[in-house]
Amino acid sequence: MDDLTEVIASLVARRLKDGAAPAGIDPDAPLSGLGLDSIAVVSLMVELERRRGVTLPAELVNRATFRSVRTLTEAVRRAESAAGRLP
Amino acid sequence: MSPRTDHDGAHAHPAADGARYPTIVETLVSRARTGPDLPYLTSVAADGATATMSFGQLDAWSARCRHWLRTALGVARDDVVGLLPVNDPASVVALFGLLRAGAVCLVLNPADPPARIHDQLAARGAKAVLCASPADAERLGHGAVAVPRFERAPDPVGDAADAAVRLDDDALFFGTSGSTAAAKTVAQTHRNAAANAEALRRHHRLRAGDRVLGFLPVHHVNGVHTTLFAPLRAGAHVVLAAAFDPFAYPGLIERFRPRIASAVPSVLDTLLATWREPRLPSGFDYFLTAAAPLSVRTAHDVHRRLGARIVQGYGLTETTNFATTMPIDLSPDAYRAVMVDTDVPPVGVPLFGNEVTVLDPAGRPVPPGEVGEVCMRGHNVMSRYAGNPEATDEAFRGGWFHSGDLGRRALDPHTGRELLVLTGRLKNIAKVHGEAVSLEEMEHALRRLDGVADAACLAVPDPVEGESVVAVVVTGTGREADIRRHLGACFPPHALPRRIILAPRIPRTPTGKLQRPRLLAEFGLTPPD
Repeated sequence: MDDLTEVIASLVARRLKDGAAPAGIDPDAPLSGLGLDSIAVVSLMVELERRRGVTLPAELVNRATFRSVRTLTEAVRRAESAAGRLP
Repeated sequence: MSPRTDHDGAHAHPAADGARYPTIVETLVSRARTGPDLPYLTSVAADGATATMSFGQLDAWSARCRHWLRTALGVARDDVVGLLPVNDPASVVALFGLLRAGAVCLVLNPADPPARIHDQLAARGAKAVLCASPADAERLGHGAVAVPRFERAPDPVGDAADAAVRLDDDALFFGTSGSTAAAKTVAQTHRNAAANAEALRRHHRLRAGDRVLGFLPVHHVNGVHTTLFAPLRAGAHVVLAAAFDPFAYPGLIERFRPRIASAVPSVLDTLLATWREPRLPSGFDYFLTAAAPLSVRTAHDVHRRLGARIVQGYGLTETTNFATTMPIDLSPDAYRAVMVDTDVPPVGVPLFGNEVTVLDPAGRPVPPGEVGEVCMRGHNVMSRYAGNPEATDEAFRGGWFHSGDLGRRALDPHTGRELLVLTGRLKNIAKVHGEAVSLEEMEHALRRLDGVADAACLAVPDPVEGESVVAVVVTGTGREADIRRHLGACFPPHALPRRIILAPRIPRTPTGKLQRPRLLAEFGLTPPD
C-alpha cells in the first residue's frame, strides 16, 4: 500500500468495531460492507481533509467517492493535484 | 407511600387530567374521513425512489392488515406481536394494523442478532413476529412472517371494527439497550402515544399540510412518535427517508421543502461537512434534535453556515418520546444567547401533558440553578417495565418517574422561561447514539468470560456516536477477538466497545471500587462532559 492508501485504511480501521488492522482492509471492499455507516464515513472525510490540508470540491463529495478506500484515495489525489500539490 | 400510589402519581398531570385524547387509531380514522386523498407519508428508498401514501390509503391498507393479523395469524386483542420495521410503507402499515387489532407491538431492531431478538420475543410471550422484508424473516426463522403488500390485497368482508382499546392498555413495547439478560422492556400505553402526539402538535404548532422530514429509524421511539404519530395527529405530511444519506439529504430538503426536519446532532455535523454550498429553501423553520446532547459548536455552525435554528428536545423511551423541548418562538437575540453564546444549550420547557422537576436524593425539589435528578410525571410516562416490577418500583418513587439524568432548572433572563439544562448522569452509563448502555453490565459480562481477571468499561466522547465504550480488560489468555465475540452475543451491535485495551491491572480503591476518572487519565482518554 502507498502512503495515502495506508492513511485512509488506518482511518477506516479506527472506525470499525471488530478491531481490524489497516493492512487487512481490502482497498476495493465497499466501506458500507466493512461496517462503516454514513456518519462514520463523513467523520473520516473530515479527519482526512484536516490531516491533508485539502478540501474535496463539491462535485467529489458524493457516494461514488466514498465507495471504497481506493475510490477515496483517487479522489483525494485528484483534489490535491488540482490544488497544485504534488500527488 | 406505597409503590402503587407512587406509580399512579407519576401518571397524573394537573393541567391535562381528564383529557380524553383520541387514540392514534381514532386519529387515523378521522384523518381518513376528512381528507382521504391528502398525502400522509412519502417514503424515499435508499435508491431515491419515492412512494406516497394518503391518509385514506393508510386507513384502507392497515384495515386489511388488521384483518390478516386476525385471520391468518390468529392475533387477538392484547396479544404481543413482534415487529422488525424499516423505514418503508409496509412497516408503517403493519404498525397501524397491529394497533387496530388491539395487539401490543413489540418494536424490535432488525440489526440486532437473531438470538437477541428471539430472547426478547420469548420474554414477552410474543404470539408472532413480523418482518418488513422476506430476507429478515428468513434470517430470523422460527415462524417469522414477512409483511404482505396490502396495497394490492382485497378489502376484508365482515371485519370492519378496530379493537375497542382503553387508553391505559399497552400499545407498544420497546426494549432498552442492556445486555440480553438485563434489558428491560418499556411498556407504552395508547394514552402515552396519544398524549405525546398531541404534545408535539401543540409545541411545534404542526398544521395540516406542514411537511416534516425524518429519517430516524422507526424501530426507535423517535421514529414512531415524532416521525409517524405527531404529524398524523396534525394532518401533516411526513417525508420518511430509508436512512440518513449524507450525500442525498441536501437534495431531499431542496426537493420536499420541509418546515421541520427531525435529526440528531451528529447528523447535523455530518451535513455541515457534506453540504458544500448549502441553501435552505424558504419556509424551512428548524431542525428538531434529540437523543444526544447538542454542542454549542454544532448550534453555532448550523446557525452560521445554514442560517438555520436547532430546536433541542429531551426525553427517554420511558417518557414515550419527548419530555422537554426548547421554545420555538425565541427572538433572534434570545436564540443566540441561549443556544450559541453559551456553554451548554438547554433542553427546554416541559411539553404539554407532563411536568418535569429536579429532585435531591431525598426526593425534595432542589432550588433553581442547583443540580439534582430530572424526574417526570404525566401522560407521557410509561406504564411500567413489562414483567419487571422491581425495576418499575425503582423507577417510580415519590410519585415521579426517575430518569437517572442530572440537571438544573433556572429562569433564563433572555427568554423569560424556566429552562432545563442537563449536566450528567446518576448511573455509570454511556449514551451511544442516544441509547443508554450500562457500563457495569458490560463489566459483569466481561468478567464472566474465561480467563478474564478484571474488566472496566469507560464512556468516552465519540465523533460518530456521541459517546462510545472503551473496555479495559485484564486477561492472561483471552484474545481481543474472543472478547468481541463474547460481547457480541450479549449486547446489541451499537453498544459494543469501540476499543478494547488489554491491561496488566486495573486501579481500584482498597474497597475494590473502580476509579473511572483515574482510568480515563491513565489510558489517555478524556472523560465525557
